[in-house]
Amino acid sequence: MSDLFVANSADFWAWGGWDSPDPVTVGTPSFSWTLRWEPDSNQSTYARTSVNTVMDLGGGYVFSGIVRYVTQNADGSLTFHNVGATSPSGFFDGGVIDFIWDVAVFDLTFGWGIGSSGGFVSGTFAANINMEIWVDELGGGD
Amino acid sequence: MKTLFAKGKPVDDKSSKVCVLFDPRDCRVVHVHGATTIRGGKQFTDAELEKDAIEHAQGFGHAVAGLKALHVPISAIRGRGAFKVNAMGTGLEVTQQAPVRASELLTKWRNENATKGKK
Repeated sequence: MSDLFVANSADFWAWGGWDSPDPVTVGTPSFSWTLRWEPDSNQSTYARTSVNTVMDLGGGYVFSGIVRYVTQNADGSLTFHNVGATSPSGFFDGGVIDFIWDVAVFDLTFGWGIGSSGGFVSGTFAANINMEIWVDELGGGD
Repeated sequence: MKTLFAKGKPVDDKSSKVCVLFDPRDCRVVHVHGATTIRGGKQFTDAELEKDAIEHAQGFGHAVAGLKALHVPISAIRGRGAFKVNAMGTGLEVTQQAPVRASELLTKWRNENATKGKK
C-alpha cells in the first residue's frame, strides 16, 4: 500500500507584464524546491504536482512538475535523473515532467512557474499548486 | 510556500533553506530555489543550494551570468505578493501585496471593467 510521504502547496500570483514572481520565459522568475530524505533501496516513489485553483483576469499561464530526482545505486553511487531537461512535458519546454515513478529515490526537485500578461487587477493570474510524494515499500504486498 | 508536511506532520522551518538568485542591476528576482531535509536526509550546504539554484535557473532558460545569490529563511518568502531584493542586497521586500481573498480582486476587476464600459 502506498503512503503519502510529503505534501505541500503554494499560492502564486502574477501580474505586471511577466515581471512579477512568475517564471519560465527568459526574464521572468521561476521556482524550484528539493526534498531530500534517507536513501532506501527498497522503496518505490511516485511524485507529482497538480493545480488546484486558477484565476485568470487577463491572460497568463501556470505550469508545474518535477525538475530532477536522484537515486542511489546498489554500490552507493548516485544517478541524477534530469527529467525536466530530458523529457519535458506539456506545452512548456521550461524543464518539468508531469510525474516520476522510480525505486531508491531519495532527492527530488519540484519546479513551477506562473506568469501574467497584464497589470495588477486586470491582468492578474493566480493559481494554487500541490506537490505530493508517495512511497511504497517494495515486496510489502497490499 | 505553505507549511510542508511529511508523514502527516508539519516540517519545522529550520529544516528548509532558500536561495534567491537576483539581478544586482535592478534587484529583480530571477529564480527562487528552496530545499528541505526530512527523515534522516543529508543536510544541504549553502554552496550546494547555490549550485542547484544556478543549475535549475539555467534549466528554466535563464541566463545566469552576473546574477547574485541571497540566502534567506523560508519565512522570507511567505509574504503574499511580488518580491524583489532590497537595495542593500540583504533581504527581500514585497513590491506589490497580493489580496488576501480573490473576492477583493474580483470586486476591483468588475469595477474597472464597469468604468471602461462607460467610456
